[in-house]
Amino acid sequence: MMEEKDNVSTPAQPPKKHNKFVQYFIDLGARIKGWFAGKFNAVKEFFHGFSKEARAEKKALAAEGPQLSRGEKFRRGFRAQSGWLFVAPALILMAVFTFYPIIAAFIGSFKQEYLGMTGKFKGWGFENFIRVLKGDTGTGGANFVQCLVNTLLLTFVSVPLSTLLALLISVALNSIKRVQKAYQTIFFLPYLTNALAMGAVFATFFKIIGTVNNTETVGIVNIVLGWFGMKPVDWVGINSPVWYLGDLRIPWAKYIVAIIYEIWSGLPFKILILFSAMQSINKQYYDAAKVDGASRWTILWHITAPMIMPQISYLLVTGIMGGMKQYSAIVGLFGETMGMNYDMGTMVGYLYNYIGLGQTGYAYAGSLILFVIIMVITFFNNKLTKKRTTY
Amino acid sequence: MFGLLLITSTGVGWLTALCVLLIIAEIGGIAFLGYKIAHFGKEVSAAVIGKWDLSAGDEGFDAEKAKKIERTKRIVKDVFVYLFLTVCAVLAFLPFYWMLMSSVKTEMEFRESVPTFFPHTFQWKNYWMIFHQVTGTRGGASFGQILINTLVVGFLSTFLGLVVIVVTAYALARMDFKGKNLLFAVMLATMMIPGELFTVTNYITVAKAGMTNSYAVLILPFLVSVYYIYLLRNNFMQIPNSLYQAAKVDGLSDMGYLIKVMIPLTAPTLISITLLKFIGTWNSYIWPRLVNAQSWQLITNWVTGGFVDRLQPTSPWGENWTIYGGNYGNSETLDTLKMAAVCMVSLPLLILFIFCRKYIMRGVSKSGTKG
Repeated sequence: MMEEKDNVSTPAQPPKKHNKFVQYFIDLGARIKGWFAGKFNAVKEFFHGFSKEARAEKKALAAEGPQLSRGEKFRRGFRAQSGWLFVAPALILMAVFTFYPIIAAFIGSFKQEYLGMTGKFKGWGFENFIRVLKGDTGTGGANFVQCLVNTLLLTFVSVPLSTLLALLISVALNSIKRVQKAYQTIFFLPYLTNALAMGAVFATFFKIIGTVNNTETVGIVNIVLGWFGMKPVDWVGINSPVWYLGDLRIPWAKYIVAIIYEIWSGLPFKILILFSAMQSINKQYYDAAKVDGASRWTILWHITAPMIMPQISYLLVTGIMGGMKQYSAIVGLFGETMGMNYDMGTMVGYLYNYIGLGQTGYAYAGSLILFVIIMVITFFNNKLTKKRTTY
Repeated sequence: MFGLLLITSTGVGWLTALCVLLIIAEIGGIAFLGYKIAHFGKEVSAAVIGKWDLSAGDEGFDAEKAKKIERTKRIVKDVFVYLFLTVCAVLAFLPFYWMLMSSVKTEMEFRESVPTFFPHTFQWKNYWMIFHQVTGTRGGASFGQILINTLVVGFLSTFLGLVVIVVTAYALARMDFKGKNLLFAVMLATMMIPGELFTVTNYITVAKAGMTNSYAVLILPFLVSVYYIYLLRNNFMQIPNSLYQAAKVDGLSDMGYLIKVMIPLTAPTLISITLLKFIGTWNSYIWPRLVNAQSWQLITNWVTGGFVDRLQPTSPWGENWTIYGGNYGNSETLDTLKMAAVCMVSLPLLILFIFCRKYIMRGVSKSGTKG
């Protein structure tokens, strides 16, 4: 500082003296001019950095050492953050269709009598949740408890059964040697199916088809049951038998149809996972067991079962998760009103029902309850799998 | 808490408890049965073998006879295993067979009180009927229109989705920028949330934006799928860094490296993603139904519409409808037509699966979800 002062104070030609006030503005002007000049130079250098000469310069500079101009520094800093440009499309789409809906759902579920399309609501509170759980929405829509019971019942019956059957089939498949490939292909074939379309096929198995010459004609299942002397049951139609438990309806015949369909549609994926897991078990274990004189059941119970335990728990968890969100299978089987006035409704079906009715508040509340249930399952799953995989 | 109280008060609690008990009993019972059978088998075989061992001392043990017994046991076991597998395979395949056969039956034959397992007469006209859909119950959406919708939406959403996914995954895997890890963590966290939660708001968003009844509304909300970004990012990360440096030395830009090196190397994953995205469009049902009118909907929506026809004396089937006891002019659902439509939706999937099994299974077995 002192040196600078000395330099300034001893020029060859002393500058013109102004009074303090004027000098201040002159200095200010010079400073502003300098600031703009600096920016202008920086911008100039920045664009200059793209030109051909600049590249040559840069190479020379790089050879000399890391002395970067301001523009070059800025350009490099900009470049370092250019990853944001790459993620921008995804980020914008997610902001609109993922992040915003999450916030909107949490806020909207506390708005009483909220109608999403107009944005009108009466006040804040837990009323949506209470009414959803009570089934007191006053709109003639689906009943939440009914939907919850349907979803839980269908999921917790069909997923274990289908996993068990898949396990049996894959054990059998694993134990044969001839035509294994052919069986494999047949079992994997329904792997890619359209849940709705195949649901319609299953419905034709079970339904009362129509009348010919004033006699009812029925689907295959009723015909087979007829061989055992059973009267035809309307499995999927409007006269399907229902038990009543208070307000709750238990359409048992429809449950059976839905469970059979879900077992069938869940099998290929489960067989695929279990079978490939069994195939990848090291053959040495089996050889060792055989040397020790273990029976087939011992081998199955003490070698195969523990080795595929992670896959089984994975299948149970993904099955339950998927079951909680089931919708299109039920629509395929029982039509778009999900049985008689949503007596086969699922939780997702409930949401869509209320979206369709325009009752956004109830739809939000229902979706948040579904979210909480799925989070609870995920939580227990994490606890369980951590324990199980350390055998 | 009040929810729990409510649930118990309506008797659902009992039902749930009953179900849980049932399931436990079911699994326990099967396991116990299996255990018993195993033990029984063991005891029997021990007894048999023991007898043979005993008799060996007395009469001279016949090794060949023991072998024979072993072989018979194996054959019996094989018979049971093959029988079980065959029954299961037949049951697994039956819906497909029934779908195919029903789709070419005449409506009269389909409604017979004793169903035929092989059609007497093949009526290919059913397919002609669903393509031309004379009855007009479908709100003016012909099969051709629906197919064009599905293909356009399928290709566009697959292609654009792939671009977004690849670019994002590349940035997350290879580029350094502030907040990258936070961004990735947030993206992954959204995977935990069921997609149905978004649908409610998205519906309002697109409806307010006036986007309903367009292709864009079917494409935009599903372009980004975090799971595929995650999958591809992991694939990109596996490519060694030395390759990147080598490419730089050779004068490739970042974009050039992405296109010329990374995409070819991760082609299998990209093919899986492409197929699954397209299948996702093919199978999507709820969203198109919610936001679009029938003429803008996709192929799965087309299947669910009842294939209802007004029975006419001059029906295109040329059948005698009076046999059904119904009056002319009544609307009836024609299951054969519905089965033909189901075939049109299911068969492409089956064929795709047969030819691209490897790629589809790779994608699905990793994610546990289809489409």
